[in-house]
Amino acid sequence: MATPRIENLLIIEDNLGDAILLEEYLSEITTGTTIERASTFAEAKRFLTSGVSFDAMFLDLSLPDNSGKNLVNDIIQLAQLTPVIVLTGYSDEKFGIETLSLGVSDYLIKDNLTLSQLSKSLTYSIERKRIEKKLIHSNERYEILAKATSDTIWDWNIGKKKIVSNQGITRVFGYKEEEVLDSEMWWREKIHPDDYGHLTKTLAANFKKGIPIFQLEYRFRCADGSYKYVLDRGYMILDANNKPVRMIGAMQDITLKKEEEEKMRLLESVITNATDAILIADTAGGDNTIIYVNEAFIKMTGYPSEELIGANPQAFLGSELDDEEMQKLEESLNTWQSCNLVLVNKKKDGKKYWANVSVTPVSDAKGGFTHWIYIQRDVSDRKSYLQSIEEQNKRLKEIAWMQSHIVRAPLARIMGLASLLSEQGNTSEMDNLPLIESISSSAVELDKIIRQIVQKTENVQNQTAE
Amino acid sequence: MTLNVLIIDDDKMIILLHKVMVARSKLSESPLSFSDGKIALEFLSAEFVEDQHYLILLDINMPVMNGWEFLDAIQTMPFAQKLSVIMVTSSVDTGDKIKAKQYSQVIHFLEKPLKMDTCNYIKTLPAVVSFFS
Repeated sequence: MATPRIENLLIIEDNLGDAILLEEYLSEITTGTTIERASTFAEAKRFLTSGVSFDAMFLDLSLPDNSGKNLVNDIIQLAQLTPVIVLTGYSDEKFGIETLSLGVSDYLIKDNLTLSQLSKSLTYSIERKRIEKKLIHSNERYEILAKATSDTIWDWNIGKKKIVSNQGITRVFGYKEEEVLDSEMWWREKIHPDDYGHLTKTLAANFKKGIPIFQLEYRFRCADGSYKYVLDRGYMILDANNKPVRMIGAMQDITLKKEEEEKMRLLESVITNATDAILIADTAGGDNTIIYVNEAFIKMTGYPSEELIGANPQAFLGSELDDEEMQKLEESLNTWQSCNLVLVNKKKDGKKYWANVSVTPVSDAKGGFTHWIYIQRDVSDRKSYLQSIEEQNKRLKEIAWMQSHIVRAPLARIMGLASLLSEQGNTSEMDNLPLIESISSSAVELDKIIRQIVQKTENVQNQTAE
Repeated sequence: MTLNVLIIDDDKMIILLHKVMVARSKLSESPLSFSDGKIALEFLSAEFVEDQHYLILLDINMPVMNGWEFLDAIQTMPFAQKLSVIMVTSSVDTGDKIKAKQYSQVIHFLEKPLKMDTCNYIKTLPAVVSFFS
């Protein structure tokens, strides 16, 4: 192992001879290293609080102003993450060993100090501290991360059936700290019964196939009995025999996202299943291009979705009959105003149909217009119904005209003849007078009926005209 | 000045009836009759006499030239103001009555058949009353 670059060393030793000897040894195994010496604890303290960063320090256990366990503790506290190597005599070896538990990196026996021993001790101490520092930083990073994320981070000891977690379980799911147990069972029973089977199957499959990455959405019960949707992601650790022993993961609360998704799905199904034809056009890049059509649109127009998507909606609207309405549409598109149109559209097979089309602009969160929604309804049936009523009215008018002109003409003759006959006053025909009067009254009666019919048809016409 | 009565109707039987009624009611001793507006118009154009007045009993629904067309045609004729027209029609359509009022010559609107009392009533109309006093 290569000796790490050593910048600064501190020797805390009140015995000048020992200090010089150590310094000499050290200068042989290091190059360009500054070696400081403190002969009292007070002096050592000054060095250690001066801001100079030492790579390691050597500590004699008896100083004039501090010694023994007390000294070790004080120095360790000052040294923080700097390795401390204790120097002892033969007689103190037992205590030297004890110091290791106080946080000392190593101990050396002054009386038989060798260069190789010193070099090895120094290198190991520095290296070990470096790894320890990394570990501390990494732990620190984990602690901060665990606090920053709202995820529930868990660590599952598969063999021991234990799970430990961070505060997410209390923060997100509302459990009190004392409620949370580390037994696997406690966690398992929080999983929604409908999701439990799938979860265990997935895990079992991962275990069997040795797939380390686990990812699943399921529902996890909160303290109040409600469920939250979670996205649980874990990583599996295998032992030497490829047997899963541990799994670490994070459970993310995706309830809001799920609810949004659910709402979106619902809205989408409304659009998809609507009987009105719906078209959405994107105006990005200045063009108006179709990005969505629903089933009803495809059914109504007869165009397959491939021919619609990417095309301009105007290609499927209106015909030569709709110049005025199409101009209205043009104006709306230019001014981002919604409009309602009645158009004669053409299907793919050329067949025309009446359509009621409402066109509405859509703006994004910043208020800029981005899309157009076209909703169109086939009103051909209603149109033809209206047309048939209009035709019926026309026929009714014709019938009225026939009643008043054609039918009444011969009747007028009969009435005229009857009145002429009754006014003749010829005595020889006096016997016929009651008969003539019967003809006359019948004709008058018929005349009344015709007038009633004409009156009625005139009323109908006036009503429809209104 | 004498009053000539012209009956314009395509219905021969109506002409016969109206002639009898007109003669009997002394509206005119010898009414003239025409089977459509065009023949009547030709007659008036040819035979019109300046100091005479003409009362026309006009049917609406006729072939060749109907009552309305006849009314339109006389407007530009020199004798236009010498004519008084009574619409005599089998129509009971109120639209026809309203339309008839638009012509200054039309003095009355009657429904067929013409009766004695209506003939006597005609004599009292301001446009022709002077011929019967």
